[in-house]
Amino acid sequence: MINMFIDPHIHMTSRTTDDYQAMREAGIVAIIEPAFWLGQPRTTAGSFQDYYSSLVGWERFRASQFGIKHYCTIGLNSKEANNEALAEAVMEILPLFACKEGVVGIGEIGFDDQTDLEEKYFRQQLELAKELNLPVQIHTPHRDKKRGTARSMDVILEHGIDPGLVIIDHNNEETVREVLDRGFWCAFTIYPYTKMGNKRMVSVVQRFGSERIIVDSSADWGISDPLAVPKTAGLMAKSGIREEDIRLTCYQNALTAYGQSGQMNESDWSDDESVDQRQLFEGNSVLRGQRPGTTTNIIR
Amino acid sequence: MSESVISLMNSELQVNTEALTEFLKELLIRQIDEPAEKWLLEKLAGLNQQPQPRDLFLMFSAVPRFLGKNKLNLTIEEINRLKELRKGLSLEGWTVPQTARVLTLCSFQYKDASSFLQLLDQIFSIAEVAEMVALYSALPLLPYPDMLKTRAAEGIRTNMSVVFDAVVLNNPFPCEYLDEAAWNQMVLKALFMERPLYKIYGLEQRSNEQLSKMISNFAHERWVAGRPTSPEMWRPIGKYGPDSIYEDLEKLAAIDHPDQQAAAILAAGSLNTKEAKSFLKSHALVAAEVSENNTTWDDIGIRWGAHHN
Ligand SMILES: [Zn+2]
Repeated sequence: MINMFIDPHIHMTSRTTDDYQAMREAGIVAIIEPAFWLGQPRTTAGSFQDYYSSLVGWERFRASQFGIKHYCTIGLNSKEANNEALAEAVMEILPLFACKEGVVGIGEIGFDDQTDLEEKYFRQQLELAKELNLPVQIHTPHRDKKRGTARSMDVILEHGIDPGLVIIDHNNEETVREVLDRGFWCAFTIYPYTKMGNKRMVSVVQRFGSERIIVDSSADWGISDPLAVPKTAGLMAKSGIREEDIRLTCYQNALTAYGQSGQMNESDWSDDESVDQRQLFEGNSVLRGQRPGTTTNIIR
Repeated sequence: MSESVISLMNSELQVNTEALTEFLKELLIRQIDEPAEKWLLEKLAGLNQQPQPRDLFLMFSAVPRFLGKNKLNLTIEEINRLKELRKGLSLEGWTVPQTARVLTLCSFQYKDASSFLQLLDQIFSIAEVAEMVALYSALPLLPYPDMLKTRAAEGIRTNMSVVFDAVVLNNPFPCEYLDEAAWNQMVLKALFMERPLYKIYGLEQRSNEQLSKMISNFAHERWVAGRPTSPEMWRPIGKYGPDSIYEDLEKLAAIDHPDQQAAAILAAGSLNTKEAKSFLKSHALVAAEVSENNTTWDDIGIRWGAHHN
């Protein structure tokens, strides 16, 4: 049974320590937190700077206390790209964060309402990714998804970016074929109740296999499940999907795709010292006096 | 401001910036490969060509991509040399990229105090965790130390233990520059966060009445909560004992743990009062053992750390 997972799309800033604990217990060893919007628009570039800072600072530290390696992608999301003055100021500070340790790509960027301004900053950020040779994490629109996804891929290819460096996220049965055929990584977000559920994900893997397919939770401040990846893996196992396909879709493909940044290596977490809970939790301020177990009683 | 003026400003604490910079550079070059060395030397040379702040930021971030993330190793000779160059500074636990980042900060030619501070604030404001550690561990080596007190206090306010350690442990800056209130907060927070006190430079030197009261109160809180206290916590009281201290020491001596009892003996020894002397007399057996074993506060701290961390 596969017992190591990566959730390559999760917004931990909005989650609690209970989530971190449950995630670690379920076998999640590494996560990627894309820069996104916070549920309401920011009004100053300083808010973005502090947000990016927290992604490479506080949140990274918080995750480490639970034995989870935290990586992130840095970008200006499509919703807030519609405020032009703000977008200009944010584009100024992006390169400073994009080069930092543990930043595995530019993301999540792409289209929301598919406006001209969204396209303008999407393109500018693709150029930045190209210049820094970083992977790109693409948010596809929830409305008019099929057309928006195709248009995102057109734009990316226009900039001469290798599709092997691009992860297209929030796919469904309608978009998967084209994304795979055009050579992109194809990520699926597992949403509780609506949209893509665990069962649908199992059928996608049954139908399309595991090559370049990635499962994530996109858990954030809304109704979402931070355990979506290990739960889906469990359901896949029950449904008779090969262990190797589970390993690829729930662990290895994300590592291969984002590992191209040079900022994410298996040794980051397989190395004993870095997941020694006693060392991680020692004197920490998140647990406020609680003592966790060592790794040996956390991994089952 | 010229290098000579800066070293003059530091002369009181005898920080020889130039010699230290040279020392760090040699340390690094000894343990990185040729392409990494080439990159580093080129970048350092570039610092003399008045780079834009942005170039400095990007170089600062790029360091591990070129130099890797290995731990820094020091030979006995290097450890001794460092002791001569900068009292109280230990590079224990430092990494190669951390050292290179500190070296970068020390090599940059700052126009004046205000441009130095502005640049430093900017680097801090966008730093990730490892960069923050490097920045705070650079405090005892940077120019204009008087202007860095608030920065050090800010670092102590952090909840990231790795960052806290960079300011507080093996770092002479707090002892040399923090005022009493900030120093006391630092020691108390180190206790709260269960950091190894023996790695704090100048504990005995900075002992004071207020801190002793705070420590005694802290012990009472812990005992009421039924939580264990580190025997190390009594070290910073020095010669300052609040009235409650003798009761505390009796309690300590009654704990069935040799280092808690040893701590009571060492603390009483540093108090040097009539009451302390009679305490030592009534615990003569333990006191004899402590002196026979030559038990020091460092021994107690190291043993406690090994068992509890
Ligand atoms: Zn997202």
